Amino acid sequence: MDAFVEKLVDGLNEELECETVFSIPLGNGHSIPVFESVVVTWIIIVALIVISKLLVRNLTIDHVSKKQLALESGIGFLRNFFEDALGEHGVRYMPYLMTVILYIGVANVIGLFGFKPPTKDMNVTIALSLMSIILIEYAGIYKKGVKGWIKGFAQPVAIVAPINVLEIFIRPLSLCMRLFGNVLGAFVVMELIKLCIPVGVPTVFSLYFDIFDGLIQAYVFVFLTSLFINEATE
Amino acid sequence: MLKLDPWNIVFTIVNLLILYWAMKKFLFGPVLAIMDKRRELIEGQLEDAAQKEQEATEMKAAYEKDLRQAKEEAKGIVEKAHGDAKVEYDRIIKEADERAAQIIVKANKTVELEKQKTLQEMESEIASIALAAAAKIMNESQENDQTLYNKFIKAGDANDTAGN
Repeated sequence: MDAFVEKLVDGLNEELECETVFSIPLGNGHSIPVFESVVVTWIIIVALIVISKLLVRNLTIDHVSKKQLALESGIGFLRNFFEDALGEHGVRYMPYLMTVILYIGVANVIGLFGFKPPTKDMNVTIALSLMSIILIEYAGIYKKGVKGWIKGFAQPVAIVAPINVLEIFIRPLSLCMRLFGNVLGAFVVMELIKLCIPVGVPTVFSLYFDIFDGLIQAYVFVFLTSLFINEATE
Repeated sequence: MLKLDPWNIVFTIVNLLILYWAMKKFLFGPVLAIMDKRRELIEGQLEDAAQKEQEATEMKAAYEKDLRQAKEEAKGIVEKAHGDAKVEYDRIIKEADERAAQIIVKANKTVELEKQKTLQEMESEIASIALAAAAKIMNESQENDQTLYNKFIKAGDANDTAGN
């Protein structure tokens, strides 16, 4: 029994380990490690660009092909969703949020292709949530000006100002931890299932943990960011 | 798994920015542009159609107005023609009446004249007959011509006035 648990823990540790793919030497004995998540992200970027180039070829206004129809339905769905969530002042940030939902969505389900999901690495979710909070605050400053943005912390009453300031740190932290925790949790559960019952059962659970949960988390991340931007630009 | 490394955070941010630029350029930009273009085209066509419909409605109203006017005008013309015809009819009838009356009067006069002429002719005839008769009588009675004649005329005159 102990041997089984040990084997299980070892296996999990190995799966959870974010490996350093290579290091960039700095010449003074130190080096910058480049993690697996960053390399997988490069692969995702290249794949997305190639797919985009293939999909966007021969777009026409009339005599729409089925491929274009599907593409437009997808983008149209995202556009409607973000236009509702962002409000009229936030619409200019729509392309970034579309990029993020695409990236997180692909990153979460890329485990199906044998890569380790980049979102399982906390460095990636930290980067994503940092970008989100910078965008949220930038949107507020852009809309209200620096003075209006600072005054916004004392809304609706001055006494809540400390809490509003705290939100600058709480929001990205919760975004980061939610995404990381969900992906990691799903990953751990899937690994456990695979270690215990390697045949048949993991397929069923994979539908939920790898595909459904992954896409839901991508949706939740950009939806919350959109809501915060909408709030900041109101 | 929880190796936090600032460099990798920076790498991921750079990756995200590159992906953002690439997606905007290669995917969202062209697709959204073509969707907007199509929407503009459709809106333009709809606007065009609405404008044409309005024009058609206006034209229809104008035509209907013209038609109504033309009908009224035609009705007026017919009514006027009826009136004119009535006046003409009355005039012709009146004229005919007058002429008929004139003709009757003239005819009456002619008849009267003819009657008088006939009477005169008859008088002179009767006178000559009487003269002949008187001559015959005179021959028979051997009486004075002039006396007998005068007597006869007188008797004839008295008869004439009594007969009338």
